[in-house]
Amino acid sequence: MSKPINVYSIPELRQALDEALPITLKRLNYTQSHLFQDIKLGLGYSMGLIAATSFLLDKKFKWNQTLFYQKLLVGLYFILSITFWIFNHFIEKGLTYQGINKKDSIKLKIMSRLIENNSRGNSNNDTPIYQIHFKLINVNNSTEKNNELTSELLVTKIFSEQGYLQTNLFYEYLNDQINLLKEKKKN
Amino acid sequence: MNLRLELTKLLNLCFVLSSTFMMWKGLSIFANSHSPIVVVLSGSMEPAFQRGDILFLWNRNVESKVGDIVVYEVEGKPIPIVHRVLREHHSEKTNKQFLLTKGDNNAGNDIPLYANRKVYLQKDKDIVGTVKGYFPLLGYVTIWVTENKYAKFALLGFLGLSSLLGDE
Repeated sequence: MSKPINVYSIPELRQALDEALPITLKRLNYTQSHLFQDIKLGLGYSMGLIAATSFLLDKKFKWNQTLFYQKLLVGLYFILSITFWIFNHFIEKGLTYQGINKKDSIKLKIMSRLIENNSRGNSNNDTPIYQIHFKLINVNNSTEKNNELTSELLVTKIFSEQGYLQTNLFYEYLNDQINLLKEKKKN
Repeated sequence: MNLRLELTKLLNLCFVLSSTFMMWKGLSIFANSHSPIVVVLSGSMEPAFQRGDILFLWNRNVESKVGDIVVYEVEGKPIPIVHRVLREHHSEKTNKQFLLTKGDNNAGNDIPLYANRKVYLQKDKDIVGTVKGYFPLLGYVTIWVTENKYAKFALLGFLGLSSLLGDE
């Protein structure tokens, strides 16, 4: 059983849902690919390492002694920051999950975001919506069309009043959506 | 426990610290000064600068002019001093510039302050930068934190609390 979330906190809600995605999809035989996450972690921690080196040099030596190395480190940090930004905005593009189902040879990509309902001018319903964009890619035939689906889920449907995620309902919901998308592809 | 998730969370904290520090270093390199932003700690430049003003320095100029306000460091003393250039001398042989400084609000020049009984400052060695801009009073936070031993804990406590209570 998962921990309950604070039902008044949008960030907590988003985090709980994004974290539940891989766990639930695992039950649907999808294996998560951590490639993008690992690249980001690698880039991020190398940036941290560069900053730490610069900090240590700064503490141990005088300004003039290490100026050349500091220029090098700052330049490198700058380049890595830009790489990180480009990776986030142009390659990852808000991808929350990617995984593969080996049995059906299907790749699944999911982008998700949380919409606060009242931001659509719908003042009598404040329930946030979890918007999930699915994309199924056939590993053997990647030129297929009709492989994308955007669906919206009222979060009150899968969270109890106490803030517990109803994992089975979420599982069924995801299963339904993916099956719907498979049907759509066939037609 | 999800290791990747924990590492990602830690990475965000790491980014906050490292980007702040690297931005400071970048600014230092850009201005060619090891400390491009300083806080005025004394009243010796009143009425131009008050205690707590923040100064922005630039150190890519080759020579200082008489009337420039410069920040310099004295060997063996950790605190930089902000004073005005009173006289300047060139050495034609070595191409070096020597400066005499004085605080606007002080009665005499700075010779008693210089290290090793020197009677001048050397531009390329002792000067941290020339003042190019200032922002009044903001630096009082720094003065408050360094001079009041409880203030440091208060500030740290406030930062800790805000990170605990803030979103994400």
